[in-house]
Amino acid sequence: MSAPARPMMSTAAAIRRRRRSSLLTYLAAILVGLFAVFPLFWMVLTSVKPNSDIITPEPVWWPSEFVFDRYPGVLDAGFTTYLRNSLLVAAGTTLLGLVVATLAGYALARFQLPLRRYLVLLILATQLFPLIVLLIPLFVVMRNLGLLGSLWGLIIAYLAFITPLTIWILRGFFLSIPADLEEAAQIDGCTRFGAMWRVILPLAGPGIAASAIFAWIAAWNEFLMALTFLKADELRTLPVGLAQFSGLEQTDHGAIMAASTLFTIPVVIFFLFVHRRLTTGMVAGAVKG
Amino acid sequence: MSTTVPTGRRQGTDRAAGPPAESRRARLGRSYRNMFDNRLLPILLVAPAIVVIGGLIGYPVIRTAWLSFTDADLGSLISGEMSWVGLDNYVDALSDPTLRRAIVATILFGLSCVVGTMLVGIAVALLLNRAFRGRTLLGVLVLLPWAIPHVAASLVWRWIFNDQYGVLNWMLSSLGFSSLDGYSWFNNWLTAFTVIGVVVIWQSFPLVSLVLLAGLQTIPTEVTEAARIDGASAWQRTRLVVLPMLKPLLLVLIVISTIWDFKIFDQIYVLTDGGPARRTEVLAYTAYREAFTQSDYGLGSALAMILFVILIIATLLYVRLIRDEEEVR
Amino acid sequence: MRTGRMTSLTAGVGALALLLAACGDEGDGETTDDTTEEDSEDETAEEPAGEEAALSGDLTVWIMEPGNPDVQATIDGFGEEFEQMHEGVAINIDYVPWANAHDQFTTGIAGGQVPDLAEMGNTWTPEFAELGAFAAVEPPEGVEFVEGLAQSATMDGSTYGYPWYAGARGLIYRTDIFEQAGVDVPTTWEELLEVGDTIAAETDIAPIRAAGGYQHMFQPLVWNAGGDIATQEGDAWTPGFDTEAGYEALGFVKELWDKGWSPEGAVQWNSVDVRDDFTNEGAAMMIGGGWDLRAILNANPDLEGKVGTALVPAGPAGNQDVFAGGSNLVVFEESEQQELAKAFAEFMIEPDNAKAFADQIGFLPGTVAGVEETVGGDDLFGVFGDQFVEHSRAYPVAGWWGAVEGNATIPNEVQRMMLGEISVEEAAANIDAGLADAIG
Repeated sequence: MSAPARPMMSTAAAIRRRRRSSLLTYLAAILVGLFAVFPLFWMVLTSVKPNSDIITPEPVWWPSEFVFDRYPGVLDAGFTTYLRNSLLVAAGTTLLGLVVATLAGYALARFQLPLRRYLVLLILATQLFPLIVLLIPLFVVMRNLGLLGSLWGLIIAYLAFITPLTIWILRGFFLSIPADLEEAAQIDGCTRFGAMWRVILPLAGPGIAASAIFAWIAAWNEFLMALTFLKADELRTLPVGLAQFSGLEQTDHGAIMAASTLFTIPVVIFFLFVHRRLTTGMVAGAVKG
Repeated sequence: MSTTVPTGRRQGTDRAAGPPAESRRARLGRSYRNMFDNRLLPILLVAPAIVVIGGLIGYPVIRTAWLSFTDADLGSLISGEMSWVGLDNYVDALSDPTLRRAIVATILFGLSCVVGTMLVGIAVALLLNRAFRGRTLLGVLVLLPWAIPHVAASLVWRWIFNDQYGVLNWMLSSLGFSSLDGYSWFNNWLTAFTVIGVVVIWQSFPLVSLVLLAGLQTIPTEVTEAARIDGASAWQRTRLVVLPMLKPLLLVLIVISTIWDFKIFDQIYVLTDGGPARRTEVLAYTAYREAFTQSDYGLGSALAMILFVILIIATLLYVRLIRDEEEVR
Repeated sequence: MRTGRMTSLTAGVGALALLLAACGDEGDGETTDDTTEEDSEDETAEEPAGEEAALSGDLTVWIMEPGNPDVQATIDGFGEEFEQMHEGVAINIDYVPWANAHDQFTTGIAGGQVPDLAEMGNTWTPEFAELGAFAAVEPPEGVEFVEGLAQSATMDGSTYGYPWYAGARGLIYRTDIFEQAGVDVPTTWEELLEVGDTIAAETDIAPIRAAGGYQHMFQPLVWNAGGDIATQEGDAWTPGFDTEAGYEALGFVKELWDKGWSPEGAVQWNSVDVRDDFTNEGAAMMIGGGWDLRAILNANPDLEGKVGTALVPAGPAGNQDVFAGGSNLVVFEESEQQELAKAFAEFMIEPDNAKAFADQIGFLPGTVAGVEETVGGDDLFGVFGDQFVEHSRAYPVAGWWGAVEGNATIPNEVQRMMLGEISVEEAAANIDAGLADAIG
């Protein structure tokens, strides 16, 4: 193929070169794969090793026996409650956030709102705000409203960072849907809202799914606010429960790894199913702007 | 679509009132409807978002800015009684060596993480763009670190970097770095920051790679092929042809990474708790600590505001860069 | 700006208390009844009447993680027993790790999310009592509580906690290693270093570890050297590390570290790490309490019969005081279940319960009678009683001390000194600056 460009190079040399480059490719691929996966592998492996295989200066690559009884222990230590709390908070945040963001994202994509330009900029700018800037006043407001120590308080607080991001992503999606569609629907007699509700929303399905996933993951992983707002053990979400657990069991590495595994595996499985939507959502949100 | 006309109309226009009668009223109804559709509806649609953003972001930011000029503490925060102390908190933040170090660390550590994330991310994206067996598998594997909650990821890496029983020290010392046998990564602020950086990069490079990969695949093969025929080496093709085409995407990713990496909290909380001796604190962590564990909400607010200002400056710089770039073109 | 803080704080506390009463319904969420709900003002008036009849509802209790499942079971057992004694009472016990307990309490109090009853380290009790976080209580009459504990719970004539248990650390050592090395138990700092050298030469186990996060091991050294952490004159406190005694104390830590007997990572070790290391037969000596010894023998039964205990070695001033640690049980002002909380606290400190618990955990009961009873006892554990009664004292009883602990002021400087970033004198000066800042 490259013969016309480099007449001097012999075919044998070209093959050798290509072979070397493909060897390098595989080597790089293996290194990257190990970097990505080894910590996970090690986490799961540690969680099923007997203690004598864990507390040893020379690592044990395959456990002398498999110990699974840490898992029921971890579940007993409150993880079912944490899981329930995390599910409630993530679901609540996602639902509320999506309703707000879909309406606003649509309006920002379609209507000539006063100050629209600034609104859009402002929404983008909120991504700059470190959570810690919001934390102290929200803490006081929630306290005065009696919402500290309730999952509702956390859901409301999460809307602060979920809404702008999802508005942004959804606006990108709405922009990519031709406006003719609504016009056609309106000519057919739909109201404006009806056109949005029945024609555009279904078309924006992938976008809504993508932002739902974003919202869900952000709420699922959030740590700082959950740590600050909720103190009672029965209200903790998974990240805080896990951090607390690692403090309690600071030397029981196996149990900590078992707890981490329990926390991680559902997310990983979920991710494997939805990642495509996630990247396209990201690209759409980032590029259309 | 035409079958839905009557229902759509009836449902949507109940405020236009009454059964359809003569054409004049219908026209009037339509003009009300137009006004509703074009004036009121958009505002109604945006209103909830304005309330959420105004109430949950706008108010708190202004409130934090205000608190940063006061001596708010546990009691005064709730009673509302606090005294105005002017710039005292900011003076404290800039003169106290620990706090000043946290400010510098935020910037340097944040930048290092952005650079590291981008380098690893670009390299992996280029790798994934090559044709080799197992490419799809690698694409999925690379995704995993992103999926793992920060707290869990930090715990796993803390265990890997454990001085006595950590697998990393064993690997390194068997590779010949015998001085690393039992080496304590968390004793020294530089190595401790290195560990935190590794965890941050490990979790943020997948996004960069996957977005860039999507971008790479939009580059027509003719372009790179042409460069190849012109005799450009693989490295030259990447540097001179591919990366410039991805520039807009790269800039967006850099902005996103900056915003994320300057705000790191979870990883530090789990990995070092700011230690040794408060040497691995960055602003998000220090602000939390001063406010919530030392009950000095005024100082905590001031530190939070400083972080905010740093982020604004960084972003403005990027925006400037992007604009200059566009003007040159 | 820091000086004005105290006044604004006290001003705020009144308002805080009002507010706490007003919106104090979120603490434990599912409180089932309102019958025991009372305003904080008249709770003392109703106390004699209430006793048995009104006890019902949920009670949330925070207990410090004891680091031992058996002990946890005993505490849970108290809860169950109390539930059986009182129909309609549900006791919900959460365990809080010591490491982040101070944060947990600070944010909890700030956010109005406090339990009804909690175990409170005696060094933290004054700090939070000063904020008005605790309800005044009346510990049972006719019982003499251990001085250091009772003192920490008393402010302006009111008592804010039930002394629960107390303890002091001593020297725990491996008799088999001492025999092998042919050394006697060290009684002074110099002897400790000599014994250490011999053990290091004769055996393949480390003599003793210097741990940078184990504050209760190195803070008392300043007493041993004839100084004080801070001295009080009237209301004014003066820090005492930037003194000859302070240099000697910190210098001794540095010397132990420079011996190279500790792994690099020990800079960050806390008491639990030291104990685990001893359990794993990493060191021949450690400074620890009866609770440590119990946990060690529990986790590594092989060590049974191979460990001995002694008073800690005396410093240059001939002093061998250690920190008199312990816990009070405190009732939170914001609790709606103050009566129930008090009843459960009184149940927990009943002599039989307190003694059973303290024995099991390796602490001493919070009453003088209980301590004396324990001191007379066991060969191995008697030493801790002697250490406590004869050679222990409290950290400064003042609100600011809690901030010093919460901020890890002293360990932070000790760690930097161990890492060679600062000299002994610099560490001493920094510690005093940190203490002065906290004192305000």
